[in-house]
Amino acid sequence: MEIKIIKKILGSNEKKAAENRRLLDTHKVFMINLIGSPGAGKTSMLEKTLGQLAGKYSCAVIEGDIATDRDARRLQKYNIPVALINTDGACHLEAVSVAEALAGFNLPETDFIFIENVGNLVCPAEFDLGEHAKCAVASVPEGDDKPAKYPGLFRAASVCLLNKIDLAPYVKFDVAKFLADIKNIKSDLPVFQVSAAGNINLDEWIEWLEKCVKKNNATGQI
Amino acid sequence: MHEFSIITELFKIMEETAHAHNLVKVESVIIHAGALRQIHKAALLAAWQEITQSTIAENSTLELTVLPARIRCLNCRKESGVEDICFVCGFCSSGEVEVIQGNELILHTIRGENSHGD
Ligand SMILES: Nc1nc2c(ncn2[C@@H]2O[C@H](COP(=O)(O)OP(=O)(O)OP(=O)(O)O)[C@@H](O)[C@H]2O)c(=O)[nH]1
Ligand SMILES: [Mg+2]
Ligand SMILES: [Zn+2]
Repeated sequence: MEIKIIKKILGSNEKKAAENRRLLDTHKVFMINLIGSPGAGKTSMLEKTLGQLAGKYSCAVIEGDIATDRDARRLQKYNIPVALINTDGACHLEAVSVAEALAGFNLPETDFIFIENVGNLVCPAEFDLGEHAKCAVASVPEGDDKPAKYPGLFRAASVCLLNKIDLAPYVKFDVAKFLADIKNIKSDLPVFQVSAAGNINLDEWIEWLEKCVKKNNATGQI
Repeated sequence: MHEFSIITELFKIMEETAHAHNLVKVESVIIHAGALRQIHKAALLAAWQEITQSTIAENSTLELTVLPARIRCLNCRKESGVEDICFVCGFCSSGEVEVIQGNELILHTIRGENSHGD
């Protein structure tokens, strides 16, 4: 016999993600999910971002890490809540574990939640966590072909960081090509060319984030 | 690697469905996946073979139908395909488009035998 089902696979993750998003919206918290290759500079960008925002806004971080607490430890100096999720080998975070992390935060008092996803350009883009924006973190040494090879992430993203721009003079990286490919994939994707290590262009990124704040009748662009 | 999460959930839905329809054997399972899901077919099939071992779906075939990405222009409202990585309207070249096909991940059909041999 043949049974027609037409049922969504990963529907349970989507359902949980929608619950997370509702919970965050109730408390006017903005959550952003940083996705990029291992070593692209996700933690480095978080350090610089928290350095500027942690005094002014109430921030929290969810650190997705396959097995260690190294990145979570790097963020301790900001005196903010950091929830560590060890995925035990899995290449991405899922909405259930993010829900557990959210339960440990004081949401009514929180403005920003930053998620550092597991270093990977494919799988994390597939799993909605309930965030309001995905941030694609690319970096110069990875090469200018990343948008063309991983269009899924750049299409799903609301903002893109091109990190390690300080290395552009030393690496064969065609910024114009990178931007042209992104334009084809998502014409209105904001791209910030930054350097976490060299403190280059961080202000535009910080300004973009501040426009996303939801509390106190802020603009809440996303 | 996300293929394993997909297969785990697919297997769960398959088992529930088979149980509800009194299936004693599952012969094939058809899933539809949007091209944008970037599913690695070989990894998916390997995971399916692994998870169905010693179950009613042992040795069943997993058929994957890939749905190509399609977009609708927010400017001229026409629909077009996505060539390469170009999410740009094929009629007016606007980049303001919505994806109308390509993100699906659907369990479509299960074929099997129930206890009456049907
Ligand atoms: N030159 C240069 N190096 C950088 C920059 N940002 C980060 N790095 C270096 O790149 C390496 C990786 O940075 P991380 O921030 O740990 O990268 P990540 O994306 O968090 O890595 P995983 O968590 O392992 O996926 C470190 O050695 C950083 O010091 C930058 O803007 N310029
Ligand atoms: Mg890191
Ligand atoms: Zn058009």
